[in-house]
Amino acid sequence: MPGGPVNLDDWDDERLIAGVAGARTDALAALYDHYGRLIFSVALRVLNDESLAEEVTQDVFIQVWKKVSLYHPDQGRLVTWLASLSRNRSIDLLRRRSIRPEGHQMSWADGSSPDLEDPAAVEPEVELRLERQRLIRAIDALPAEQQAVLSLAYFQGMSHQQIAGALGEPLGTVKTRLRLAMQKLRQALERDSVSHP
Amino acid sequence: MIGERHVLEMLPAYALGSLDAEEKSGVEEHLGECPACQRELEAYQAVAAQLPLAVPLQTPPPRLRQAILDRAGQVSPASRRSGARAGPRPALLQRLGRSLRAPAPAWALVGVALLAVVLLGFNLVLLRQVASPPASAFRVIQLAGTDSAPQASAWMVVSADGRSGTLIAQGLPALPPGQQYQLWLNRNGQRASGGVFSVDAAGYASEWVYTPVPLADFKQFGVTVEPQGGSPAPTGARVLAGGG
Repeated sequence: MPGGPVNLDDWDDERLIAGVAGARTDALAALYDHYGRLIFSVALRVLNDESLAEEVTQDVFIQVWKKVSLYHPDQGRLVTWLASLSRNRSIDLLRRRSIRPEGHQMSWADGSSPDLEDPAAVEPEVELRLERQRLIRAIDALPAEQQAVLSLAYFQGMSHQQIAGALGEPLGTVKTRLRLAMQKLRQALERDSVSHP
Repeated sequence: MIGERHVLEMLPAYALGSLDAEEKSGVEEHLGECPACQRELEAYQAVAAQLPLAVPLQTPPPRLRQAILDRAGQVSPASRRSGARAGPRPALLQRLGRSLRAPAPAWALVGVALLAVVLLGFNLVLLRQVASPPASAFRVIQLAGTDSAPQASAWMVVSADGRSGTLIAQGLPALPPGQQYQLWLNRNGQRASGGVFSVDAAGYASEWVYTPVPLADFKQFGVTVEPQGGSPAPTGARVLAGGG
């Protein structure tokens, strides 16, 4: 390329996706630099196995490389789409291989996570880092038992019934906790979006 | 007004995929006819979509980046734009090209037009913008998502001789076991089934459509949710509609 390699660090999602669509491996590399850590972390959270999490992360980026046309900005932001690909593929893997992760991790990132303050953290965009902070604080404010059922539902893909079995809690209690957790998060995030439009 | 018929209390769990099959089916039945609950669901889906951002961040091994780039390098440019690619699911335009197996020479024009789209790396959305395809080659009809599936969209590509075509749909919700989508064709008030289909995890489907009478005669197209195998007439929520 005339003038040497182009620095893609500042490319926004739209340009990165266009670059990937145009078969530019440097755009794929930049996409990985932006979101690879998050994609890997989501997979690791579900699978609790670094080797499998690497496999899923590879699959997610290769899927994007092959079929970037599946992404539509009107259906959500790139980061949440990529993260959901990682989550869904990881849960598929859990089910397909009948993998039972060692124990059930039920913790979320907490408000004191060092990565929130790390300027070299996964999100190059300040806005996304702030959003992540608000989300983590909202989850942090939930009672521990609501955080736990939310985690099992989202990261393990468990049904109410499965969560009740895993925790040894009555089904009705699990349903209530999950509903309250989502309602409170919704309220907190909508409140934040008003105060941080 | 939100009344007790609504399924509001189940929507948070529905957005997380935590309902059992029976509950899920009941919620979906209600969602098909209740815009208020659909709006509520969208709010919870927005929350669910953000949840992975709250995962504790871990650092992947440095080798992972290069491994991904190496694998990407093995996906040759040719296989990204034609049918040679190995992978679990062929891409949209591959499937389209494979589906449009009409012998007529006019299909060469279709192939050229589609290949041009792929070469340019355009988004699926641009399929509808293929610049002035020869009128004799094919007809593209866009279907829009209804209130039951506002994220959905589809294209019906009808062959030059009007006898066959392909439906390409995206953004459709995955259905529970025992249900499928069914395509309906309408001409002069007469309705015919265009076949049943399911979507993959990404909400995508492409289906070969063939009818005894010329497909080109049908002006209106719709897709509804039906029991597995389809119904003699539409019974479930309409998720896509278009034509003209």
